[in-house]
Amino acid sequence: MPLGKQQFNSVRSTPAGRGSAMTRLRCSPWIGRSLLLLLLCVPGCIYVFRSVAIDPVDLRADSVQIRSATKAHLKDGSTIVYRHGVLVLHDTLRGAGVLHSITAGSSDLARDSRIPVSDVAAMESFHTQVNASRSLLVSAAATAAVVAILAASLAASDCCSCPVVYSDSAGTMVLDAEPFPNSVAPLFEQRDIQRLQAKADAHGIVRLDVRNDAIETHDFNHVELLEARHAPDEQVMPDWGDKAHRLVAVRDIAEPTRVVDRSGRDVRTSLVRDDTLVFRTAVGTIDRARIDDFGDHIDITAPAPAGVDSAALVFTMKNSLLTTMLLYEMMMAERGWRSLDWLSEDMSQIGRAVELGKWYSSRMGMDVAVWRNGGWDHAVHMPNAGPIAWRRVATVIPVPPGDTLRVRLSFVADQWRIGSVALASRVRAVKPRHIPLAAVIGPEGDESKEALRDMRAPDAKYYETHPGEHFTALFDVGQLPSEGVPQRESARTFVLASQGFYTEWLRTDWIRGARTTQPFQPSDSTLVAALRRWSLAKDSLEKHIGVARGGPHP
Amino acid sequence: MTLSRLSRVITLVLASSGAACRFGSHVETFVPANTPNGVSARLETASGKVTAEVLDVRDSGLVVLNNARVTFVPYRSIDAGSFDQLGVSIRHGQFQNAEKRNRVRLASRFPQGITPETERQLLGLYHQSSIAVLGAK
Repeated sequence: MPLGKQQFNSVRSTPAGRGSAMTRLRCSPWIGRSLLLLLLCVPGCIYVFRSVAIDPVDLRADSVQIRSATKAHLKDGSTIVYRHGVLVLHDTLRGAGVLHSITAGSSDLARDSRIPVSDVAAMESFHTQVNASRSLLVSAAATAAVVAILAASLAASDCCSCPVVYSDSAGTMVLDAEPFPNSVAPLFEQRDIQRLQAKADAHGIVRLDVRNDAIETHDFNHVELLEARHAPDEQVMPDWGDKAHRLVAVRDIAEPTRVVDRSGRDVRTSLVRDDTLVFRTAVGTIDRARIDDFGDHIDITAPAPAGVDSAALVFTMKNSLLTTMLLYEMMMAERGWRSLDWLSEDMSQIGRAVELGKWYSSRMGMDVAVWRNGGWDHAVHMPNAGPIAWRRVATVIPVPPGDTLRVRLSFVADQWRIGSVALASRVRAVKPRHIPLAAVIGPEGDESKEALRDMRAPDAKYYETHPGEHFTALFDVGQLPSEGVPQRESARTFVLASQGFYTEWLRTDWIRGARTTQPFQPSDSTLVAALRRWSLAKDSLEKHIGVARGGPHP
Repeated sequence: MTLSRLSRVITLVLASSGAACRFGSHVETFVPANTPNGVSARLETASGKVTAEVLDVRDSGLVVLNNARVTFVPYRSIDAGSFDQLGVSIRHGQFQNAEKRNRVRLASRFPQGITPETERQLLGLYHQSSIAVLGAK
């Protein structure tokens, strides 16, 4: 094997437990990885203010597993200390502990010991918590320079989840796609469809630069290009309300006449008239979020398209970093080392993954309802789109009889950034041509047949990338014939289809700042807690990350 | 362990090696979480300074274990005080707020309150006939 400049061995393997590892040679990404590690290890002046939270345990609950130190106070005055937690199973406490009697000294309780709940007068659990705002304030005040460096590194490399795809636009590489943003674990692997701005070069080749700019491992199962032929006055995009995200072509696109959000703001200018403005939830709506009401909505009014019973809403949109904060802060950072268990154990159990998936899909994304017979009829649910690359998507909605069409978009407060919304009177399904991966070029310009083999089909083989690595995917799309092509197929749009998942790496501050040893439980209270933090952090996060990575919508 | 997994572990170890200045308490060193004892109070009263374990938080004062004597300390007799590892203080007989007072109660030895039977055991253990009252003649 020619070594040349290649300097290190790294391993790629099929995802955990899926076969033997293979060693292969790669090179310069170690430099990027080392820099990232260096940044992670810079201690700077990080001040962490912490305290112990004491929470009463509700003994009315049927069963609960407490994984942190817990004390049970018995009615006879004795106390049991469960330093490593206790299982409350129906009517008994189970776990190893020490029983302290007022008068008879102490005795150990074996792991299988059982204490009737009826003997317990009170219980409380203890866990360490970090005063995040105080820690941040003091750290920031003392170490502005270090914070600036970290913020810069965040913007450059640690902002968000999933791979990013750049394509050539008039000689400049532009951010064009963000594959499988919702696939946080192997069980969440899914196929993702994203319209590209990419064009074929003079040789009929589409080149995509796929980068791992995050602190994650990316596992690609399948990458292919879809070519959709259409008329010049049509736009092709995924139907985001369709579970398979099938492609549709839309035309006769009109602006809504009225767009108002939940707070009563007229947001038509930002959604229709000005390409540099982006819709975001009113601050008051975010701050008023509570466990039984944490939503925002946008009401759209437009003339009803004539002679059709369905139309398409057309969006340019992406998620805010709220979902990223939910993953980073609530699911992982709060749990420190325990988040490793969550990722490697909990998320490999179908039941846990399904529980999380059901909660996630029921809360995240966007619901679309149409006004009919004096009420809102739910029409379609659109899943999250990812927080980095703008997506051009459509969703097909029914058009009730009448002159006016009213549509309501509902979502968790501040979960979306919407660049534009419009109504297309004509929509049709499009059957694309599948274009397989033709070649994969590594960072040093060498062709990688392994990568090509691993990503060419959705099978058991995966191509794995680590922080700082990238590759170039080549697709031979050919030239569009200049003659003999029907008008309705005289234009073409390329769409990236990708399948895979990503795995977060644990961050230094997550380990230091772990607040609980409890496994993540998807719940609305967690979501509201995330919103509280988001309300404080969103401006600085988006300043550093959103502008740097997302930019104005296309 | 695959090299890929090893690289992640190495990253975790490296990442966690950075020093940080930590302030405040941690559950593993928090006395009430690891022993049957309640939080320790440092009180300045008209009768002098008292360092004692908090047994119970009542409406009118604290029941503490002071030098092996079960003692009631009325709030009105407390000029100032603090509670170890809790970040709670008391001034002129008053907690900062009800939440702080509840925090002290949860960290006391008997958050559920001292029942007559428990009181009888305690007094027997410390050879008392009744709970002493700080400042009482």
